[in-house]
Amino acid sequence: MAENITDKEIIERVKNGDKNAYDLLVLKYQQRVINLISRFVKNHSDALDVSQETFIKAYRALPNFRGESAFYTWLYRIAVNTAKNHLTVQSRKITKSDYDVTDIEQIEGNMSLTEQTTPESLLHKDELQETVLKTIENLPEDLKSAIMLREIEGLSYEEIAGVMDCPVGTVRSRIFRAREMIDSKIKPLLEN
Amino acid sequence: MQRNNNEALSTLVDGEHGKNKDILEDLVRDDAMKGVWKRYHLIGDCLRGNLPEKIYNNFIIEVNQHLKNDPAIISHKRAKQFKREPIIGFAIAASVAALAILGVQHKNNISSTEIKDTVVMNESIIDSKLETFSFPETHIRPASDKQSTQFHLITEKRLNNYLINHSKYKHNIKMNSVLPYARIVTIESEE
Repeated sequence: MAENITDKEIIERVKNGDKNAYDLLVLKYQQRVINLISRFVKNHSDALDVSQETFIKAYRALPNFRGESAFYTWLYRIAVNTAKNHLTVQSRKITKSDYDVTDIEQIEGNMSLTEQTTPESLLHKDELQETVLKTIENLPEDLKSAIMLREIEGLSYEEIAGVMDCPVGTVRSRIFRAREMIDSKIKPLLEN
Repeated sequence: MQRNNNEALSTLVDGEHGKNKDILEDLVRDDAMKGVWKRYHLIGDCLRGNLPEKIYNNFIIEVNQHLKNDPAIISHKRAKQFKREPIIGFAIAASVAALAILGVQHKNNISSTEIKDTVVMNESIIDSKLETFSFPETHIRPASDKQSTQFHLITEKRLNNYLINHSKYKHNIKMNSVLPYARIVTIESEE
């Protein structure tokens, strides 16, 4: 996939001492990793911690990454292992401790409190999804097709140009305009 | 300008930026561009159904907080060193092997001259048509003292050369003492 070219360039930069470039990989893959880990770790706060741990481990192990597989495949393995380790540690903690019913109620109460402490930094996915889909529906047909072929079908610009029977430059411009229009709608949601 | 940058950023998101390396350079330094990069990927994740239940905004800040004391990765020099190490290792192994071969050959040369002498002696016995039978004189003589000292001098010189070479390169290949055998240094495998 063409996206891997960008990943390789970013990884090259990080490996050459540009620590800031690692931000780009975190920003790119954070949602996918959190989503993946949430399937193993049900508590949202714990899932966030495990996701952070995944990216920290990945940064520290990056000198050993030789690019024989895609970066996300490698990151995926780290994420799954970190999530499984977390579950093992949690199950040991629960079996070792003598909690009674009131303790568990208290712990659960604290967990929900933790989740409520930072409501401003959380946005529900339904809200975002609704905004994105509504904006795409209202896009001109050529922009809508271009962004769907790229993001959902994963076609390259050249392939989209073939499907839409237009130059590659036009495809580039259509995809960008579609993104720009969607971005103008989601940006206020994320900032609020 | 901003629009042009964002259009280039959109191509970078798709890995279709070609030889335009400047955009990545700008992106690493510019926080506003990083925000756009994040949202463009968020749009893709949203359309592909990769979003978690809740979108957390401060994720990157917390990851960076944990990594702030970690040093930057410098693997370029290390990779270069790894490229050189097998060559040095191989060179040492090859020189040891060459020394061994030369030593064996030299030893063989000495013993073959002795054998030759004995063979010539035997032929002269056949030529004499066995007129009178007598045991030939034994010509298995020990190597002369002069020859033996010469051989030892050469061996010692070669061993000294080897030790000098070894002490020159031992820091490059992380050897602390003389190896009892030849070893080829190889690159460690991934994971």
